[in-house]
Amino acid sequence: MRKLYDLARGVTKIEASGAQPERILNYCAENGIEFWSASPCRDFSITFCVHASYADSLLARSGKNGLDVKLISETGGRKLKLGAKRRAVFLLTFVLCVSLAAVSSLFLWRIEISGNDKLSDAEILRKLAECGVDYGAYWPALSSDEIRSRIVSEMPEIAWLSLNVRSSKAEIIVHERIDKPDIVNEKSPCDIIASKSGVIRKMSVLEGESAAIVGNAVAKGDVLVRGLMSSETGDERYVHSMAQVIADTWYEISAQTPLFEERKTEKSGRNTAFSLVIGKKRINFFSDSRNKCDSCDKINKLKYISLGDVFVLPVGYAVERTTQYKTSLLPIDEDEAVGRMKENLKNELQRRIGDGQIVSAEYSVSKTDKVMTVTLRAQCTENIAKEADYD
Amino acid sequence: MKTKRDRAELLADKLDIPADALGSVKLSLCGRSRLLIENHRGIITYNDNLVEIDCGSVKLAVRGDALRLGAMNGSDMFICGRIIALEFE
Repeated sequence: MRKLYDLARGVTKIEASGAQPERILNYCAENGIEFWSASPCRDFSITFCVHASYADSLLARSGKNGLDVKLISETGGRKLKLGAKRRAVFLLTFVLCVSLAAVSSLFLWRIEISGNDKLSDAEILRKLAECGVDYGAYWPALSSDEIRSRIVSEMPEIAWLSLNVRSSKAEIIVHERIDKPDIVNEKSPCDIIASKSGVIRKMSVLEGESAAIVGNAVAKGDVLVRGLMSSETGDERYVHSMAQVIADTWYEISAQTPLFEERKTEKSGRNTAFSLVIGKKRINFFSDSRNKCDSCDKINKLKYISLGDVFVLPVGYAVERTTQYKTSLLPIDEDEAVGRMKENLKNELQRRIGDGQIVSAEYSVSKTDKVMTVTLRAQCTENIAKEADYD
Repeated sequence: MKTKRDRAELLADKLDIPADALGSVKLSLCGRSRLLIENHRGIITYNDNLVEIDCGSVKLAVRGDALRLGAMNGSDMFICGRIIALEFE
């Protein structure tokens, strides 16, 4: 702040030399002239700094009392004004740009959405636009609470939403609603059946009557625990069966991949087209933007001019790069493909057994002319109990 | 012959009031690197090793290394640097 103040007032460095150069400092002190950086530079000479407005009165003392007062340098103040006059157009442009940035910061030019998983950005943007949150919207007029209430009430998938506006950028953080878990009615009677085929290793029956014992081989759908319980009095009653049945299960999962794949190889043909973007309008500097060839990649890049993340101007450019390619049938890297498929098969097995454990697993690879097959055979231990309601 | 300032100091002693209130020089030394001089009459000599100050009836010589005039106005002066000695002449 001090430096800015000095720059605005202008700072002059003065050298006083003579028999007693200290007299100039006394003169300054007596007349209320603020000086600083006073230092004796050589014999009978002192340099110091004062504000530019005092320079003339000090220079006028030259020749008096045997003093020689010289101006060494001047910065800011008058020099700045002279420079500004010479660069009027530049300054005007600068002021215009700053004003434009300041005004444009009152409008939204960038909307960022995060936290959405089920809902797409486009769906949320459409709803936001209905609520007035759109590109070019005047954000001081927006009410975050109103927008949140309206979106949450109109989009049941959203549990909560926050809208933060930083200059011309709106950050939307979405929290999607978590689906309610299935509610188990513990009073409704049911059996426990086998969800998978296997050999029972352990049974923990909490409610119901066992229909199988440890060591039994069961097929998918076999009843393991009955919900119909007999009693010594002869009456039968229905209960909600509950049990944990740990069984050995076996899996055989296969995955296939072609031995040859089509890969893109870039051709020489490459075309780049530019557009100027002003707000939502786009001015193209090319005649036709359609993708004329079938085997072309088109990459679009849109960039708004911004100062950091804060000031985003509604002016930007778009680059459209079209690259022609040709495809050729090439053999795949078999080792890499086998490794990838093994990993995928293991993930798939883990997904199927849930909390269960893999006891042993082995892979086999077989090839035909065009296809390679990787097979996973695994033995696992898992809970196969599954509730089955009575119809 | 007594100067105006000497008389002021005598009067201050008689009236039991601080002498600097009547214009006598007042020195405030903070450590050995900062010296504030109040009620001075001007600077006589100024270089890296010696600053001589007119204090009216006496002349104060501040000896040291890398002495700098930090600030100065009509009555007060602030000297910084490595102060070795203060001498009255």
